[in-house]
This record gives sequence, C-alpha cells and structure tokens, in this order.
Amino acid sequence: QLSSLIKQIEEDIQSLTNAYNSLKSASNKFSEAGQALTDFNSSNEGKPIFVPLTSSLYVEGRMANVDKVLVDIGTGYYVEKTVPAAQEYTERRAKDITSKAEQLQKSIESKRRNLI
Amino acid sequence: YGVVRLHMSNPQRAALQQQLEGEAQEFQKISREIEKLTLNRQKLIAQLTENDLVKKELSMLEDDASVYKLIGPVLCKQDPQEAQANVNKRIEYITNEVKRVNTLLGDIEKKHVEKRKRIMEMQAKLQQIK
Repeated sequence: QLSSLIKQIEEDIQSLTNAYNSLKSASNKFSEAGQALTDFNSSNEGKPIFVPLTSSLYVEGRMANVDKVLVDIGTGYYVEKTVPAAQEYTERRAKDITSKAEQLQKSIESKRRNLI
Repeated sequence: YGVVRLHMSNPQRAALQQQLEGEAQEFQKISREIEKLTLNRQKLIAQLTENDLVKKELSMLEDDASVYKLIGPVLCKQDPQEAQANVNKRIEYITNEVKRVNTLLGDIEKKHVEKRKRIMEMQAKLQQIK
C-alpha cells in the first residue's frame, strides 16, 4: 500500500514538472517576442521585408508602419498597441507566467520532501 | 448434509455472481462518466481563465484603441465596448457551465460511492455462501 502511495506521488511530481516546463517555455516565448520588438525601431521604416502568405510562401514587401503592432491577447482578440506598450505587455505576461511557475516549483519541492 | 447444501446454494450463487458482474459493469460506466466530466471541467476552467485575461487587457486599453476580433480567416475591427461586453457575456456563460458540471460531478460521485458499497456487500455475501 505504501509502495503504491510512493508511486502516486512520483507520478504527481512528474506531471507537475511537465507543467512547470511548459510554463517556462511559454514565458520564454513572451520574452523572445519582447526582444524581437526592440529590433522594430524607426531605422526599419521602408526596408524590404518578406511577408508570409502561407507557411511556405513568402512575398517581398516593404516595411510600412513601425509604430503600431497587433497583439494577440487570447480568445481571438487582437489589440493594436504601440511598440513600447506591446513590449510592456510581453514583459508583464512573461513575469506573470514565471511567478506561476515558481509557485509550481514550490509544490514540486514540498511533494519531493514528502516522498523522502 | 454438506453435499445437499452445496447443490442448493449453487444457483443462488450463480445469480448473485451475475448480479455482481452487472453492478461492476455499471461501476465502470460511472467511472468513465466521472473521467469525462472532470476533463470537461478542466477545459471550461482553462477557457474561463483565458477570458478573464482578455477582459483585464481590454479594461487596460484607452477608449480610442483599436480592437480586432479573429472570425475564421478574417480579422474584423470591433468596438472596444462591444468587445468587453462580449467577453463579459462569455465569462458569465462559462461560469454557469462550470457550476452545472460541478453539480453533475458531485451527484455522480455520490452514485459511485454507493455503487462501490453495494459491490463490496455483495462480494461479502458471496464469500459467506461459499
């Protein structure tokens, strides 16, 4: 009976760790997006760019607007924001997710201690 | 004496065993229902949190900001107030759905516990007849 309890806790730890990893990678994606935005500055105006039409077809174009970007906030809603506002958004989301990941890490630790 | 008693309780035992199998099958069915409902509930809660997030973001916008909604392959401009109203409505709907699933789950779990008790009683009776 004890051994099945141990197995249960180990499985819990495994699934919690998986959740922690996916939170971490989501947070990374947001910080990468924020990083990409810093390259989105005024020197890029008018520069030639490649615009994806499909996942394998790109069309040559020119950079028209470097001030505003569309931000996906979930459930199919997009909001137009200025670049600094969008950067602040990505920072905020990344911080939120990292703090949730830290909470998860604490529960993982306490479960591990219970195991011992 | 012993031989006569055994013959008499055999059909009784067979009937009880069949009943037990039936109860066990129903128990399995209830377990599967519980799994389905729990999954459903998790999905709903994820949707609820996502919509809460959108609601927060929308409330932080200035009144003149542009909001777009993705409808299929088309991105359409939406009035921020309308978008907020829509998201609030969705949040209300999902919260009600979660409440409904929770009550269903509670009821079915009660049935589950009762079924398990019945099965254990029958198993005990079967042991006695043996």
